[in-house]
Amino acid sequence: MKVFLRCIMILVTAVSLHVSAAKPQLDVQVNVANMANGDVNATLTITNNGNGQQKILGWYTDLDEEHIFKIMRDGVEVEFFGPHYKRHAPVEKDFIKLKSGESLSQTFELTSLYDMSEAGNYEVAYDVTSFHLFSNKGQQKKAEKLQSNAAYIYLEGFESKGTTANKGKPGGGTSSDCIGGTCFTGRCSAGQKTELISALGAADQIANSSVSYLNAHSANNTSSRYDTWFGNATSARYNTAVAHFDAINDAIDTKPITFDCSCKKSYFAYVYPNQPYKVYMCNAFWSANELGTDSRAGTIIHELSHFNAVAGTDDVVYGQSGAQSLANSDPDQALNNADSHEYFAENTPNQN
Amino acid sequence: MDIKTVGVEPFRCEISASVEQKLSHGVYLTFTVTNLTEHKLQLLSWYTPFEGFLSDLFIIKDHVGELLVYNGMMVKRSSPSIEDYLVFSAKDKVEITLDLTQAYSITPGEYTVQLAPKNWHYLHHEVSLTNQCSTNQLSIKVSK
Repeated sequence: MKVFLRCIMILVTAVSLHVSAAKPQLDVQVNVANMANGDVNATLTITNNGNGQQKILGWYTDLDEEHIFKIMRDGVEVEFFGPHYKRHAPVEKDFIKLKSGESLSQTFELTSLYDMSEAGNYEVAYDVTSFHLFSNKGQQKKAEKLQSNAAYIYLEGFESKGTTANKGKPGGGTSSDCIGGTCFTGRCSAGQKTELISALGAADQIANSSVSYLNAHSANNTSSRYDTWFGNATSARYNTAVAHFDAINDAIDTKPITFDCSCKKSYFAYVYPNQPYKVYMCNAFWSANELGTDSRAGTIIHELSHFNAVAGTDDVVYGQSGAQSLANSDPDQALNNADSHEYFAENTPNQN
Repeated sequence: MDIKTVGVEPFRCEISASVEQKLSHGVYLTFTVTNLTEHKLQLLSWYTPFEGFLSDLFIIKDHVGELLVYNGMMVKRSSPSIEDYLVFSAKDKVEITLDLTQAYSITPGEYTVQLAPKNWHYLHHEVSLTNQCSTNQLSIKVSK
């Protein structure tokens, strides 16, 4: 009896395999690479090895659209933080057509969408199932599947400094993860987190240098560095500058700063001044240098100065030349201008 | 020809609003800029009401003179591109209406409103110039 049942099961398996095999002749390859900055890149290549044209539903070729990779750490599936879209039934234009011999290839960063924070052996494979994977003609009787080889990579993981709380949640809406008191939201990749921690360190350095400058000088003993960015000093104005930089420095040293990586606009960054200490980083930030004019460190100084709980600055003018004219024409407004604080802290080119 | 020889400010800025407004409908203010010159000018929309609430645009005070906190975003940008400029033909007038409740916690009461002082950037024959545009002050009575 037992043997008989087993035979039936094998038979069923064989039949279903046969059916799948008759389906599209797409070959799927996945390669993973560990980048120097901590990111993990997966390259997906789908090749049509059949004789005729082959279609595949476009959103199953894109990690930004669907959960297309299955990732296991030491045999246990890891959590996916990417989007889950509710979709309309696919129409013809949603399909990508591959000619015989043609392939498509794309690279995706994984650590921003999967929990890869713990050390271990990771196995990455393309694995999708859909009723409309290859065609939108009528409802299929059974879901169509497409899978790849597994690619393997060992990751060191990243440990929270000093604390074990809030480990790894790279993505999801309200969830966040923290490294040594600095938190991340909006799907920061491992590489972005490393760069943000480094930029915050650089911001700390230039905030310290600003505080030292202000402690070493006074309203009737300023020098070109102060005069260039804040203009004529009275003791009231000088005290405002001291209070602002003490508060900026204190925010960096002691406040729970959160960086959000979801912004894809051409801006450097933005904040809501009444919502300390969350800073939204945008495209121009990622292409800036760590130090110097309009740098990552300076952008962090600029943004922190906006918080009402810090210095409550505004954007009165933008850019170095605008800030310099403002220092001449309206020193009070210069002390209310975020860029003036940024340029004073960046001190580029260097002035005494 | 240098624009300053016109002898007047290049732009006139005004704000206007209905004196009595209902909070449930939103509190609206119209901002108008007029090119006073005989030349085409291009005004950078950054930090002006023409781009909406991407900076703290207005000084709004309640009946005891307390400043309302700005709830919107403040955005640091890199260099402007040509799409960031608004074109004003000679004597042209452009206006925009904004709902103040989108960026300020307004409750029923009386308020005074004026434009926050900013340095405006504009182009005249590709030459970049700056100007301060200050506006009149308005009083608005907001009911439920």
